[in-house]
Amino acid sequence: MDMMTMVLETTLRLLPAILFASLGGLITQRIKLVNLGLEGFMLIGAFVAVAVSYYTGSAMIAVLVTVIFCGLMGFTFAVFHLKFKADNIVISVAINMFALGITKYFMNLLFGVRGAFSSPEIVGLPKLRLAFLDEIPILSAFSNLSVFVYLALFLVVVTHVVLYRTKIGLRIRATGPNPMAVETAGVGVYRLKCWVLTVSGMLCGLGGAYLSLGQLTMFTDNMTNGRGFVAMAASNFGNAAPIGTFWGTALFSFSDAVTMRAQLYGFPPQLIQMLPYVVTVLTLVVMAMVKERKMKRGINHG
Amino acid sequence: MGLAIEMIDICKEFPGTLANDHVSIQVAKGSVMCLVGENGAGKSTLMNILYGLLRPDFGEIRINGKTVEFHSSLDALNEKIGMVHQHFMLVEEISVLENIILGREPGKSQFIDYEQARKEIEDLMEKNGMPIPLDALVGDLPVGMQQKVEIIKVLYRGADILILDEPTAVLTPQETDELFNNIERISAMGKTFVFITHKLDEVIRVSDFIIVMRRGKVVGQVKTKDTNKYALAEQMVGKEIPPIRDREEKNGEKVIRLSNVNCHDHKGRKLLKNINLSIHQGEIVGVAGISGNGQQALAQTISGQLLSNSGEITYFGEDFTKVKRRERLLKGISYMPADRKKEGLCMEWSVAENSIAGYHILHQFVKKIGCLHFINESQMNENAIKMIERFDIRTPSHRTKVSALSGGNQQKVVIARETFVQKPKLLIAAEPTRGVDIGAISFIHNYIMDLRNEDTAGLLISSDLDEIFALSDTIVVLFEGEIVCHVKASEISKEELGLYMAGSKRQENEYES
Repeated sequence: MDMMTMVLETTLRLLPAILFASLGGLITQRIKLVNLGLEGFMLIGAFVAVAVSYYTGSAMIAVLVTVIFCGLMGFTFAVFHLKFKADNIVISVAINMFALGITKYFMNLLFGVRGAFSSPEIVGLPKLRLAFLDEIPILSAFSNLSVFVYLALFLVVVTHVVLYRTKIGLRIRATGPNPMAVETAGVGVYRLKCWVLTVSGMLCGLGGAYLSLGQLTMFTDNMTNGRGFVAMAASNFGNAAPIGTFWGTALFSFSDAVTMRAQLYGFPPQLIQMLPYVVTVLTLVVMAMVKERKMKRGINHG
Repeated sequence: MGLAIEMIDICKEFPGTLANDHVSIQVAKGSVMCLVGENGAGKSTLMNILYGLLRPDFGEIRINGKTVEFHSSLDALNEKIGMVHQHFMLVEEISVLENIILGREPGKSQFIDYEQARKEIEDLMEKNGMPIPLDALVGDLPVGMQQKVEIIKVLYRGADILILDEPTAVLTPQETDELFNNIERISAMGKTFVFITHKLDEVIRVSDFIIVMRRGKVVGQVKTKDTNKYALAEQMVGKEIPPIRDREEKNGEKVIRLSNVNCHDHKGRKLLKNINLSIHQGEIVGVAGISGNGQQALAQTISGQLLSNSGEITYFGEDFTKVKRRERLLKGISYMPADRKKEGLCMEWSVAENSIAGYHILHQFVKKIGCLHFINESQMNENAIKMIERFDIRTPSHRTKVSALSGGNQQKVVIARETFVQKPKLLIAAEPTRGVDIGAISFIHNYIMDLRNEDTAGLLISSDLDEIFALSDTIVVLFEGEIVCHVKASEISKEELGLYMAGSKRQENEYES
């Protein structure tokens, strides 16, 4: 494989974890709710997936359980936020800290190890082998990818269709800017928000499961390592639109992939590891500047 | 024709007040009924009960002869009752079409049938003669158009009874005319309208039947053709309204002069463009315009809260361009902000504390101990007590929090503070009577007129054109931060003013002053 193909392949391998979570962030952003808890949901998702896969020997069941579990956590978030009126930032921080601690604790309790847990009995996610692509330059990057890569891409399309073509999508889009308008139109905003948060949890669960069963087949402490926050940045980058968010995720994954490859070529790792974060900050700054300029122009013309 | 709405013996009590006290009303099908009354008379409570937002403690509602019980606005919608709220329930970020179908989207599955939606709404718009661009974002439309979206939205939901809550508060006279024509046309098709307002001219014009409420009770039910606006006003207030004070001829010296003043906010948005304006002693300049066209910036530029970016301001011949609010206040520029709850008052403070806020730096309110300055509480309280008496502020005591006062009394606290402690040379009054009952309106109008007759210069900003005409000597119209019209109040009609307000007309030659 040449350099380009390798970077592309790495990008694609890194993509799903962030993409799932950023879709989860995107839908909560649509209801004007900053869900900083993406990180915690993902981490717990990653752990649950590994544990269930280890005990049952089935990646399928592992993913299913993870999605349900994280969906319930998203629902809990909703209950705390909507019913008990807790501040969403506080809940998010609580979830992130809780996730960090509880995964450590259960790793020790269930498997008697600290730091990292891996075992041959953990069954990873299946890969889609497309042997005929092997010989085609560039496209050969697609020849041996996890099915979750395709699932993630598919979900981008699904999210787009749901948001812009369906009833619930319209309601979600309207809830963010003016929940009162939705309420007076006879739609229960409370239930809608519960659903959105639950689905957001489920998507993060998928991201976590991919991380521990797709990208690797192990669980390590804090293995999400800020991916939840990167996912949030991506959904911001995309203005909470699915296609834009996909490009944001692609950009971040790409810079991550470049980092990984560059390390192999002997660049100082401390320096090069900053790259993804620098890219994140820079893109957000540039985006903000572009937005402001657009606004100014709009005013001068209007 | 039969009765569309019957509300029988409705009672609703809130802690401390009986908002609806055995209220009974009847509205015939296909008619336009106006519900008038002062703020706090119980109109909104009654309509919220009819729309299912509140539940009555007692009483019965019948719609088309059938007894109903509403638990939410959804139940009301199902009985074909729709409401156009004073603050529109629209989502600015999505299209007109999507706003209209929101909550009642056509399509069998989860997918929205946009084709069908478009067809249905276009039919509806044609039938009711209200064309709206369906693909525009609601936020890009003018207010009058947004209101049409609201009406179509209600009709789309199949409403036969439409409740309009203060629908003309935000409209220009032309838009109001159009609204009334639409109401006439739609009611001729058999729809029933309930119209809440306190503008009596409009009531007389649009309604078939009027119900007057005062202090939670129905005090009058009349056919429109049997009454006039003076009789209605008397019924609303329960006493005769004193006429506004006479205007004395004045020819005073120039108090403030703005030349070529420009102002923009931190994002570079133009708030004011090339403002040229002078105000003389004993002159009230009324600023008309649809809210959001630079009124607040103009008031703040003169009060000194906002410093202009270019141009010159002189005050009694002195250069005041860079002088800050505090000094302007001490030199006699008083400012009553439009939003009394956020800017005019500190809601959690007592009447006494509010009565000197801003003026607490005056020597009589300061007690010096060594080099430390404290507030002289006895002076503060004494001042507040005098103020309460002079302005007839209805409050249990001067220690009461202003949040416990009615809107009218809160506004009296503001006007008292701005004019009583220190007599202003220039009074900026922004929306001085918004959300204030008729009794207090008359008091405030007369008081402002008295100040004018005693040589105070006035800048009156108001979205109520009647108020502008009642008080102003000179009228300017602000449109997108520019003065597009500057005339003597006696030389312009309301209709013409409306054209300037909507931006469809512009004065060619500048007014000399």
